[in-house]
Amino acid sequence: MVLEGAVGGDPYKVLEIRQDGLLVEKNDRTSIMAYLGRVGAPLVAPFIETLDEPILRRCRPAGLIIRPDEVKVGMHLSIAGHTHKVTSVDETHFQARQNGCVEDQVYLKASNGYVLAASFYELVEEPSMEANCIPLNMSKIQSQEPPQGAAPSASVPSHIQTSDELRRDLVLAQAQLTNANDTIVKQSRIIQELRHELEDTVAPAPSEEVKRLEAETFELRVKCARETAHSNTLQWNQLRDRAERAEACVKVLLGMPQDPPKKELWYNYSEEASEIEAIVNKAGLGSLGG
Amino acid sequence: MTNEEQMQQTLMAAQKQTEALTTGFRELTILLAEHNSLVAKQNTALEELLGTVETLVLVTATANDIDLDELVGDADDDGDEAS
Repeated sequence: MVLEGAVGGDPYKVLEIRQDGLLVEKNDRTSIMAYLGRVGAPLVAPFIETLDEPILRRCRPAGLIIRPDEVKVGMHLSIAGHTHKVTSVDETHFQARQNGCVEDQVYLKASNGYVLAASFYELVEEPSMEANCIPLNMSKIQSQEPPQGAAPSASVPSHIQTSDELRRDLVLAQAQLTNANDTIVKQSRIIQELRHELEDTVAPAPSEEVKRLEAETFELRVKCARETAHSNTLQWNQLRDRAERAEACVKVLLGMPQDPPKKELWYNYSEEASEIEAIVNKAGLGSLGG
Repeated sequence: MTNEEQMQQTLMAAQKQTEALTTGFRELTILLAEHNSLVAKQNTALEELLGTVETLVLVTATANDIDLDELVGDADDDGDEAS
């Protein structure tokens, strides 16, 4: 069956519902737009995805299929891996809005027992988007509700059948991941709002006792720094005096005619003297002329 | 704007300036403490080097039977005279 209409915000699409239940774009058979069906609440499968067809086939869970008359305002659907809430319904289309989005997107309803959205589930925490919801035609919606106790259409399977349990688990895991991502996005938005509120919040003033202790600590720190600086200065002055005297001694010793040093003393101090000479040379005091 | 409001604004501006000065003073204190630490290390190194030089001078003078006090005193006197 070939369908034409707006899908997911695109004003015009040509789609085909195949016998195996897969929905494909008419102009691109390898691009799977949707798989129609549900395993049962609260399962959500990432149905509308551009998956390769073989993968989608393997992942396809058998189960009940949503019929057009099952689409109700307020229902939550998983479309393209994201949670959407149906905001309005008419005979041929329904509008749904993704969590956090402002604008609705229009989805096409088929008439042979399929819709473009997949299974639905209940949200624990619903976003408040009711104010922006504009029903298309509520009277038609009312008229489309199936009668109580109506039997499902013949095209709807009555029970879940999976040929590959592992693949079904994969679909479940993907659905859970999708829900987790939605939750993360929602929580991130809340955190961002809280952060802005915190930025606008003035920090409470410290108590008088805290202020006093901080002031005392600061005064002590200043006093300690000042006294340390004074002590360092005194030590530096003493070192300067000693250095001036040592420099004078070295100059005198280098400038006067010298007898050869006594070998005995030089022998005792030779090791130390060599180290000292290296230090003196490094300090720029010149050679001792030994 | 009333006089009271102007005064309130002036007070708030003065308070902000005071807070800024206090913050700057605290930062300077921290820098001074760090500087003191570096100077103390430098003094320690200088003292060690100076002790070595003094030992060398003493050894040299002793080896040559030189009275350092007398010589340095003469040298100081010469320097004073020259200047």
